Amino acid sequence: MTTKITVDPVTRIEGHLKVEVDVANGSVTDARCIGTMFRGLEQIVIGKDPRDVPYVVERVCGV
Amino acid sequence: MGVTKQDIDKAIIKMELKGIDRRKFIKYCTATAAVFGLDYYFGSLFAEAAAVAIEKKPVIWIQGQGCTGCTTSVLSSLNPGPAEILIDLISMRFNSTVMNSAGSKSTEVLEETINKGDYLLVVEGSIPTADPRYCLVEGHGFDELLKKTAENATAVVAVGTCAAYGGIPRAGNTGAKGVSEIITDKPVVNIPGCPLKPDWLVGVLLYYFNFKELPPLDSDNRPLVYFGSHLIHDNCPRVAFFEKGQFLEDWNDPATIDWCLLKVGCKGPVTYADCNRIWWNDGANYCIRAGSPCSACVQPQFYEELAPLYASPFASGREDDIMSYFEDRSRGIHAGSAALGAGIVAAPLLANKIIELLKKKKDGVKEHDN
Repeated sequence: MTTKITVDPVTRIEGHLKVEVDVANGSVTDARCIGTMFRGLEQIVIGKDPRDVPYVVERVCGV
Repeated sequence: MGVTKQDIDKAIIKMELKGIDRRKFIKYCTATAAVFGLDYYFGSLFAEAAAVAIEKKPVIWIQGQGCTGCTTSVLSSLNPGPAEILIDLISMRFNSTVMNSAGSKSTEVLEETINKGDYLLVVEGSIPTADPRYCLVEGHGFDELLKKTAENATAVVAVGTCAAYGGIPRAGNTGAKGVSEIITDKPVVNIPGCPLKPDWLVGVLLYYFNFKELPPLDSDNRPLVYFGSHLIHDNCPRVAFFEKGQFLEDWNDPATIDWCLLKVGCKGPVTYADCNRIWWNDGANYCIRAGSPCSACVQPQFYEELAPLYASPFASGREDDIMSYFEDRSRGIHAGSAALGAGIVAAPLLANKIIELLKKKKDGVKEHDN
């Protein structure tokens, strides 16, 4: 008998996270950690002035 | 307002227990009132409004495609601690970065607050429109959550340039848009910035709690007092070097380190914010004074329309380049102060001035060579 535990959203972190855990007979059989937000910062800096890159990609996390 | 002196005293005692003293709090409220051009008498009214808010005003703070930088900016502000004011004076019902509960427990609180209504909605981060899967909360697209929470909100505040105009994510492929493009049936206050300055948010909240309406806005829906007519270039500490036509061009030359940053990409002449009047981090400093060119992070055109950030916008030095740079940007940007009757005229004048200065510089060099 597998029980699925889902925590969505995970709080007290930066950004969006979802965690799924499968539990069977009291032990964890599988676990998934899913980031649920995408901005594509790597795509944004393609073709840009190289000096802009640190400015843009540091915004990946503001904490 | 139906608030007794005891209510305010009670609120202030509560704050004193948290380490904010009465003098500092009243001083902060008075300073905020002064920024809005109000009589000092409003300082105590702002304090009163904040005291009422303790019991009354729930706030929901949701985040789309953001980096939590705006939350961090608000929470890390110093004396007299808008962080404490925000946490103690408003009832923050949902903010995924600071709230204690997680998962379904946290969304239960959210549902409950939405159903009760009469709350203020703060949005951080942009909204992806190309595909809802670019930002999911509880398995649903962020635009759904935004529409649901905005429905019963008394006011919507978009904090940070992402939420206000799309910001950096707008330059990508996710169709990122600002709140006002999704929520069209309610007034949305934009408090842009990458990140925003905490004083801007606290000021708008105090104004709103006191007057029960949003402060006057410019054409980009930003509070007029903080953005409006405050051209960064006008109050720049390096403006004397600009007037003399002395531009920093080589970062490795210590002799020119204090010179005008225009040729290394400064966007001060097209940016409206009060950064150089009220400095950041409790008045510690701000970008240009710390040696960094202004990147125009509060402007609707940020980021891709203003890139590259660290290169001269008129590298060729050709006159028509300079004119077109300022004319292109003056249309959208100066509309804000055009309402005050200044903007549109100012941009070509400034462009002419820059051409004149660059010429003078060139002639000067020639004479020296001879």
